[in-house]
Amino acid sequence: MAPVAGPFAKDRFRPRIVGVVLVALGLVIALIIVPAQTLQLGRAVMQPAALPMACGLAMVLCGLAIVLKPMPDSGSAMLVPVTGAVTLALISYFGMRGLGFVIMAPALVLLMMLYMGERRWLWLGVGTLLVPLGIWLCFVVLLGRQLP
Amino acid sequence: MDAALAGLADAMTLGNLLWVLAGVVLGQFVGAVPGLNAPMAIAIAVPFTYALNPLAAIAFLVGINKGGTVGGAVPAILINTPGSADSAATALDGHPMAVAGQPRKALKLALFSSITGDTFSDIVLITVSTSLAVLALRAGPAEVMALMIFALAIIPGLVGGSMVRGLAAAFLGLLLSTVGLDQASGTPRLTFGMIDLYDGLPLAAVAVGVLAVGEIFRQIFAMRPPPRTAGDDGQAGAIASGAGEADQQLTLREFVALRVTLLRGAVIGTLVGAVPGAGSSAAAFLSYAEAKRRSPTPERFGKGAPEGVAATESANSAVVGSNMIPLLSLGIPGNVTAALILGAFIIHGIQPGPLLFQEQAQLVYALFGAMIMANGMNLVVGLVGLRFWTVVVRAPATLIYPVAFLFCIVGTHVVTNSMLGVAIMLCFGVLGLLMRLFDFSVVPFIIAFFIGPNFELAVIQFLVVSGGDPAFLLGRPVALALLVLSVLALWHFGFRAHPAKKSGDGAD
Repeated sequence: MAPVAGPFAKDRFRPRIVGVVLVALGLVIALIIVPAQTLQLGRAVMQPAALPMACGLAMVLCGLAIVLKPMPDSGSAMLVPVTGAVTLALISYFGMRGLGFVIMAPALVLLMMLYMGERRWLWLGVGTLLVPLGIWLCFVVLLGRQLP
Repeated sequence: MDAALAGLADAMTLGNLLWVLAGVVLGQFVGAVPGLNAPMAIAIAVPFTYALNPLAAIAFLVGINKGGTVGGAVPAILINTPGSADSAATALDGHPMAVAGQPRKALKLALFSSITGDTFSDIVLITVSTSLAVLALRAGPAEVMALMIFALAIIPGLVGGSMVRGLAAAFLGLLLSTVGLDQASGTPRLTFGMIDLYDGLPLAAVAVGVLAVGEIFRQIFAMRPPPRTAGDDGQAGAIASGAGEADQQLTLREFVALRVTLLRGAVIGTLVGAVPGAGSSAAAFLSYAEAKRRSPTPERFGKGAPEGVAATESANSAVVGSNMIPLLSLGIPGNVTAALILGAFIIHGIQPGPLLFQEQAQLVYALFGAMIMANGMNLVVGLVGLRFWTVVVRAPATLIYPVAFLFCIVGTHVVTNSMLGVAIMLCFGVLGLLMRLFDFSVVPFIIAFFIGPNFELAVIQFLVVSGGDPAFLLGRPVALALLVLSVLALWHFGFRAHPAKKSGDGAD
């Protein structure tokens, strides 16, 4: 019998990849990160590494369970959302750190609104000018707090 | 008694009243905006409460929670777009009522039902939590540890979706809660040499990142909502001004006729809310199903039956009060909202749990007072704001999400006072997005992250008193029973039960 192809095969394949990634992540945490980032004490009721190590190993078990008994997930596309989210996060962080809130906040809101397809001047004006100005007045002028 | 009176007096100050009012207004506002919900708003608001006194801060957050439940019914009824998973059941009969020309009647019914359920569960909270806390004070480290294991075991099963993925999310949350100085030895752990992480990952940055930013990323990049929301085509406005004034009135007689449905919904919501992990959407659907089952005319359900709206709204609002029972009396948050309120307590240097009733009884009673006040304000704001919320429903998603994202950055920066906090928040935003894309519920993650330090402390204390001997548990029947129940819960949810419906927004 020919192997089942198409969406069904993809549905079964994807959870297994998720499981494998989870196993790999758990192993990296338990075998590399935790030993390198915790101290081994001579006498202790519970070693500092015990709980994180247990969590890493438990993640390995969960990953194995997913690999062995895969169940279809929602199958959401991930390339565009993850690329977009990482890009936006980087722009936000370095923009705010380098240019500050006053310049970056309107630019950031404008970027997101345009990406989402907003073209109405009224809403663009509210989002890019009125809201950042309101936040700035409230926090900097009124409360005397620092913004990025 | 003195503490209770003093607490109520604290709650009744003008400042607190205004903060509760602000919370309720904000909660109803975000509830009415499709795509936003109370947990997301609370996550964003937690950092802003940093400068407030503890009572005002918690009262403000509780106000948002209560307001959000009421506001969530507005888009569900007017445009058949539930703002959160718990309003989905409201749309089943609320929207048909609106389409049939009774939108304001449906909104009023939802409002009154919400207040009824909420007040009922608050009364249960006030009467039960003190006794439960007294009982919990007798518990030793073994019972505390077993109780936390039990909570962590049942929450992934009850929030819906895959049990295994829920457990993996909980373990990840637990793992990340160990970042910082080790509680027993004081040595740095998983800090990668960064002194700023010695206090652990900032609670606010993690909560805002996973709950709010993750959802915003998903909405912007995965869902791509159209520039105009469903209600922006005039549907909401048209429905809101649908029929004659006579059809819009909800008479006292009509409301009283629903008393059994309301009471049943309130009881179901209160019971479900007191169980860690079982959220308001479960309560709403359970109550709806029960109301339909007991109705002499079940065929009316789904076609605009007022009983449907009353059953769901009284149940999902009753969860709000009762989910504070395990939080206040045991220190275990039952859902994301309770976890966020736990975070706010911790930010203000207060540790919820049985000792809270002993050491800060006045604050607890003040909080109870604030919750009752919030119910009254919910009613007033709801009645006054009904027409305004029909306008809010039409706010474009293209404005809402970018502005919410900006508030996330500002809020996190305010509370952490550094760009490192913002960077952590953004990283957890990406993690929150990944979890949503791959169906890992964020609920067990957040709850495990928040109770992680207490869990580790309980394990250490247990090891000290037991000398590391598991046989010690044989002399602690309650702890042993809880551990057996944990295993049974894992077996039931993991192997027997079919995966429940996927949690709508992952933040129930």
